[in-house]
Amino acid sequence: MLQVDPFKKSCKTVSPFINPKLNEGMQNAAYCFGPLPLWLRRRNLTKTLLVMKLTMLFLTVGFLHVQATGLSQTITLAGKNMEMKQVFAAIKKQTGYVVFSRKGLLDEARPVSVTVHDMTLTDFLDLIVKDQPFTYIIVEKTISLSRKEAPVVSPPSPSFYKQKGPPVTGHILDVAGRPLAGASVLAKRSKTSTVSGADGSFTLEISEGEDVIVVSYVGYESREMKLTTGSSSLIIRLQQSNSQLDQVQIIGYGSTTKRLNPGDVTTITSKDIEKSPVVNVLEAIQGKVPGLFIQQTTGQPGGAFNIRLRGSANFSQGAIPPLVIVDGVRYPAGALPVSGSSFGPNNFLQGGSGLNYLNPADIESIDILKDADATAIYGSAGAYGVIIITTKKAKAGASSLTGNVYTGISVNGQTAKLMNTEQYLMLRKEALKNDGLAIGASDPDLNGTWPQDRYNNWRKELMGSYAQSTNASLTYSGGAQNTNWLVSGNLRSNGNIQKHKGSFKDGSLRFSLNTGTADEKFKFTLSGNYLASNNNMVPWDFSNTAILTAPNAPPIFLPDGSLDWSTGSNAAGDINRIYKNVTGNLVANGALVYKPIKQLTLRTNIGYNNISSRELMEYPTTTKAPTYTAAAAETHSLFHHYEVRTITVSPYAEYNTTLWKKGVLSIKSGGEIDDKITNWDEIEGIGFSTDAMLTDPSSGNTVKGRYSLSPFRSLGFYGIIKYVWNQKYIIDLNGRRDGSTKFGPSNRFGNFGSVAAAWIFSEEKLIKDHARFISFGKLRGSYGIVGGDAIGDFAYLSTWQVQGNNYDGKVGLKPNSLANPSLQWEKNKDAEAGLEIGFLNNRIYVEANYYSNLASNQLISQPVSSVTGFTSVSLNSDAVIRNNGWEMYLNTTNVKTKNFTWSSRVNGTIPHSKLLHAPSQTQNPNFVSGKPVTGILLIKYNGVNPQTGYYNFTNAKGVAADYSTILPQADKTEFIDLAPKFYGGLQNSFTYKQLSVDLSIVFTNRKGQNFLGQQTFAVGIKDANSTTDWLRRWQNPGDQTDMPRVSTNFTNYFLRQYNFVNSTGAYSDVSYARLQNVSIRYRFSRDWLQKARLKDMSVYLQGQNLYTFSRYHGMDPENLNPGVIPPLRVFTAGINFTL
Amino acid sequence: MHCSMKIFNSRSYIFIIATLLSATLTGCKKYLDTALPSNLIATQDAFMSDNAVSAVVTGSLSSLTSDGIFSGGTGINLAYLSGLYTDELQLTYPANATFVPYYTDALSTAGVPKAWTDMYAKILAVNSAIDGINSSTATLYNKNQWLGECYFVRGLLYFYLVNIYGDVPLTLTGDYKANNGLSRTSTAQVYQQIIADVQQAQTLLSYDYRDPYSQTTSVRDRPNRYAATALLAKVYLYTGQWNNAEVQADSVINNSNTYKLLTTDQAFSLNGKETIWALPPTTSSKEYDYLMYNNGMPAVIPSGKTPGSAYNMYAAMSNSLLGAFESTDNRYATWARPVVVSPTAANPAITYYFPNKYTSSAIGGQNEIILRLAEIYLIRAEARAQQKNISGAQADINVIRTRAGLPGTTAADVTGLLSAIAKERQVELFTETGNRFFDLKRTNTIDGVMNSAAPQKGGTWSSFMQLWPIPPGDIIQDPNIAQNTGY
Repeated sequence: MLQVDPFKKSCKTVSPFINPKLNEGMQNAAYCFGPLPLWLRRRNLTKTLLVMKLTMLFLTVGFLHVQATGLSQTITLAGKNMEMKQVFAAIKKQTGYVVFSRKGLLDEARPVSVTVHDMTLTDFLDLIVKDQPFTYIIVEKTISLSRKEAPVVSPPSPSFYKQKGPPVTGHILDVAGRPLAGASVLAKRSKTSTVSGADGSFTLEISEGEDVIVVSYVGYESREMKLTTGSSSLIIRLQQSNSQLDQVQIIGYGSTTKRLNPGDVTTITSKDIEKSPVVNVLEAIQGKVPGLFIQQTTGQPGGAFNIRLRGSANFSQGAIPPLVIVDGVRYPAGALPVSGSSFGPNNFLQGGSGLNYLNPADIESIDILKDADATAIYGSAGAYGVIIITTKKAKAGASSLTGNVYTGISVNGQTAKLMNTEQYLMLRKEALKNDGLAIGASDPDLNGTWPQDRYNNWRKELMGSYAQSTNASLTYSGGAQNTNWLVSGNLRSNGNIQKHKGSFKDGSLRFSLNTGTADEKFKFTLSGNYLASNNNMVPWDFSNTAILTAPNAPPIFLPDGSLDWSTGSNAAGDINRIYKNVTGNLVANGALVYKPIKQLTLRTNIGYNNISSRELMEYPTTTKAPTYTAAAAETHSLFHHYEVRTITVSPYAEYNTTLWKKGVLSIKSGGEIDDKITNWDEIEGIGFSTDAMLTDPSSGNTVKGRYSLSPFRSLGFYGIIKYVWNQKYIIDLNGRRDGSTKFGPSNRFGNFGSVAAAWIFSEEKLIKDHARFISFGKLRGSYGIVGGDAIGDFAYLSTWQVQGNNYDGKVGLKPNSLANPSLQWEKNKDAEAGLEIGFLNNRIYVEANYYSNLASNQLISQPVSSVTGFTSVSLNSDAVIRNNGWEMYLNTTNVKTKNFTWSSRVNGTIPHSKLLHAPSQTQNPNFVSGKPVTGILLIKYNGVNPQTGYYNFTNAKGVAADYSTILPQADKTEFIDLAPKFYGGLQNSFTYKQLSVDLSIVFTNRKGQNFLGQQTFAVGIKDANSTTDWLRRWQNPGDQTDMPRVSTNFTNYFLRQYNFVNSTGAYSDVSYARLQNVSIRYRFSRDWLQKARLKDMSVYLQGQNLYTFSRYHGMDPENLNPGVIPPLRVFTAGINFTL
Repeated sequence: MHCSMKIFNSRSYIFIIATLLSATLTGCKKYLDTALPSNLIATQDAFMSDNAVSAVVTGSLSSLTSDGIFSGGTGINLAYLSGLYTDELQLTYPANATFVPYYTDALSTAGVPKAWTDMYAKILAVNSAIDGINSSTATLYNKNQWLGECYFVRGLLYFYLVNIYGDVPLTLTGDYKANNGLSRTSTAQVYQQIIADVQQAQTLLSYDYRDPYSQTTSVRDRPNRYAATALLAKVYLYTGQWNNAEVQADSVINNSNTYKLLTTDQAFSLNGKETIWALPPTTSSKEYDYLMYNNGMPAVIPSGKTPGSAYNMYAAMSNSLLGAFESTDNRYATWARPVVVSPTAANPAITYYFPNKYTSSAIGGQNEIILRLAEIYLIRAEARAQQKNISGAQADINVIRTRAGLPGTTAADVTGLLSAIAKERQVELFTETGNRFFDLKRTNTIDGVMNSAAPQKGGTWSSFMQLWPIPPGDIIQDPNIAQNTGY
């Protein structure tokens, strides 16, 4: 192993590994900074600066040039007994490479005799240093010499000198046999220590006789073993630690462990993710992360999600989603620029989600960064939280082939019970009777046109009963020496639950490769994932049609399943639309790591993501009645293509050293460049000669084209200083300067930062001696200022946009928006305090966090009077919002015996938001000082008037009446908060021998708009079916009920209903608990596997969204939208094997 | 050998850092100067050439046709909605929730007409264009045309705003901060501004029709000086300035080379001589009235169907409008199209009459006429009658009646003439740009007419309904704006 340090000036010690003064620090440090703690060496400030100099150099010169220089250089030289200095002079002359070394080192050199012709420089150097006391390393065009061995100890420790015995030697490996570099080895009695080298080897001097050595490594369980002086060729294998505290957490530009993280990060690993048979990984982490609220807006595969991290720091409409980073690239996790046309999937997928195009099976871990310490380093982009998704990477180990296949069905989720024909007609007749009207010509459901004994269950007819899904993946991975690889393929197919079939299918291929030089100075990782998806489900959600069609209306389908047009119209004409969406998603990541010296890491991460899609939407004549003459002229075909391309480049340098004896200092500095382009184009054709030509929209009678390209860029520089003293006290400082194209040139840059500290009090002697039941305890706090830029692009600039149509032979322009040149960064001041405490060897582990975030200078789309020409303007509001809350987490191992274990995890979040200072610019009625910003002002509802049967409201003057005219905003006196009051989840895992069972429950306590509150028209008019709740409607004076009288009168079914929709009556407690996931897995025994010649095999049953406990039955309490397919119930069975 | 350490001495170290830093920082600022999205043009670039300014102004004209009160959107088209609101149209499909509040005269703040928001958006575009043209540093060769068109459009929009809403906030710049807290300006003051704008347009615009490149054209899509004059005549009529109205009408009517009444079946022909100013539908569309009232609906509809449910034709001519025609009126024959619903055993045949002024099913076959010569004759007739020029008024009325194949008017005094003119306007100008609604209001006959018409439609009329409600959101955002009384 090479030990080279060209920057060393005075210290005579070359190898630090046997400096006893460093023992403790090193051992501790082995925990600190990930898997490579080789840099733990004493350094003075000068060296730090020197190293930073190199850092700058490498950052700018670029890493790509570094690795291979010298290999192609050749030397031709012949001579006898040449002085080393002569040889090096020749090298310099022939190759331009300079040589430098520590003072006096060359004086010890022996003369050499060589005769070489065109020998490569490295071979030549290898040849000439063979018998020299030094070795070499090439950095750039510099050859550095350093002493080969380090036998001298200075200053020697007294105890060490006393009874030195022969050294202990060995290798430290993981279970798979991969060497663990940087593991710490401590001899307890001798008080000596060392760190393993790149090949896992170590040499440790111990005192004469017996000693106990402790071997530890981050993320692995420590091992203690007795041995005697002179033990050699030991093989010490470390087991991977199951302790959460030692789990690696990916943080901004690096990683750490839960134990030593002063910030608030929750990590979910593939172990948890693979229990859920889901399309979108957000479903799998729902309810598992304190502070992260996830709401599925439609059950349709490929649909959208609302995600919000820690309440509503911003009061723009809708939550601003956290930044999602996939393998180093800022990922478009939200809605994609799919076609906005009414022929597109807007209504169907509710906008979709970019994460649908990332197979959960490819994800290794998800880290959710919450407090200022974790997020400030992302500057503006991290203002609303950060989610880092890391895909599976190649790991060392013997080659293996793993397969996983599951298949199953999805069935409809919870929906409201609708009235049948008898009930619907009874209410219709009653409505006419209430209005004193007779059945007329426009009442075909009652006047005999439609049979009154006909019942169509529209939901069943249109929404279908089940869909099939299948998922298969195959992974081949392995490693040899310094190179590891992984190749995997996935296929997924999800059927459409609705009557019109079609499916959402995708296939993906991924590879991951990491390699490096034998000395691990240079490392290179590359991974790529390409997913191609094909969605041909007709993008139409029939949920609303199923409700708003009279149950005795004529049948939609003929017995053969085709549409029945005999009545001249058909509510399901859209079923004959054709839709094809082919989406490709490439996520590629490359990282170059160079460690010129142990303390310094130079790294550049390049992430690339490209999601592109082709959508073809056909609207043939068959969507209209065959008798409709204009059908051909109205045929429509639209081709929409989009592409979202993101490049993130982040170079950084990290320098680690020990400082003040037991302290470890880590300094990181770097930058990040983001470049995103969103592009879409469209060809629309209207009026086709024949339906067969719809495949080519450009062949329409009228053809339109549209094109859009929007660039976005951001730039940031940051620095991180982290100091850990004696594994007890941690201080972390982050600073970032950010530039964003969302602001005008004078407001473009902002400075943000955070400070965090943690105290691991369980390391204190007092606790160790007197409270041994506390196995781990940490207090931490953080404070930071982060800036947000969550506003549309170019809102600062006055612009004109192209108007769609041409007028008099010319295309016109129109104003794009109200420009506000003074837009600037939002300010979020985030504070958090946390306590983490483990008892009884961490069998009980509790974490509690309190956070309080003050958001000011909010960027909002402020409603303005439409007299201004627009209804809103982007501005920095002077409002101040406080978001605070409690997040709790409890992890217990309830039972742990040889055959049976039961462990539980509970988490809960209690969020609050409060508008401390209402915006002064103009009034949004729902922003009430002192109230949450997630609420809404409503009219006070007093229930149904028992005398009249109408809704009764109290206006602002306190007058209760059955108002039949629209009550103005001023009469809204009641405030209801729609944000969850608390939410969380509970997971239980049981393992009995080979069988394991996992149950996951999620719960949410909140208020939401109920079914009746989402009905624009009350029951009474034709086709307005509704829930069976209406059977409780008011009928006679004196009736005490919660449902009003039915009516066909506009005032009653619309105006009174309008008041109701805007009243407290429209909102209900929609709290629920849901058995979100059950996973039952049987893992075959080792004996059986050996007989079957398999490495591993298990079979499993999984279920998703199995049962919902709620007092609210109107509709699914999660998506809260009766017009959209609710989250589906999924049942699957699968097998997983490793050859 | 340690001389080689030199390359890392402190001076060169500082030099390297400084060079890199300055290079990086300069690079960064430049890096953030990204291009605008492909569909956007910075305001500073939008007024740098005649071609660009023409695009801005064309945008304002184009927006009149792509959406808003003159467009084909039945939810906003003024003629359509005000026709349902008054006594011109009947709803052929009573269950349509969009039209029921108009038809039953039950407008409320729950669903205010979109005209307000839409017109202010268009006014912002015109105001910004005027600001931009006036502050442009470029030499604009056709500046007069561009400014003239802007003032014309602004005057036109405010004319419709005051007539629909009464007193309205008067915005004259593109600066939202100035516009966001305005109070309502009195109708009289708004009219002063309208007159000033249209007069300015009159001065700036050329006599001939121009195209977007300021070349003379036969296409009557862009306003010329006569269009401004015709609009001015209408504004004077509405404000009771009879002499001025007559003078302006004279100058249009006297230009008989350009403007001439055509036979009733030709009155709405593309770029015909009766047209003073017309709006083309959007590039890919048919004329809007054709889409709203005809769209290829057959003359005979199978039994059990209605024009509304089967063909999305929701509005037909009302019985009171049909009754207003004299039996031999050419206009009835050419401008009303019968559609018969076949009888069933239970129901007799029903005949609906749909407005038929626009009959071309071809894209670009006809344009929506906003100002035409027949109206100018009727404006002059009324102005003359008000000035007691009996024979002059009779002559103008008779020009219109003769063209309709009717004998001369028998009215011989001011009152008689005014009511004859009102009747003539009803049957000549039906379903055109809200004329009926405005005529009823400015002649103070609306309450009388509507008190009998509203109950027939299932509603009740109150005098406050002459003005439509304004968006409640604006009242919240701008406390200086009050809602129209009654809403």
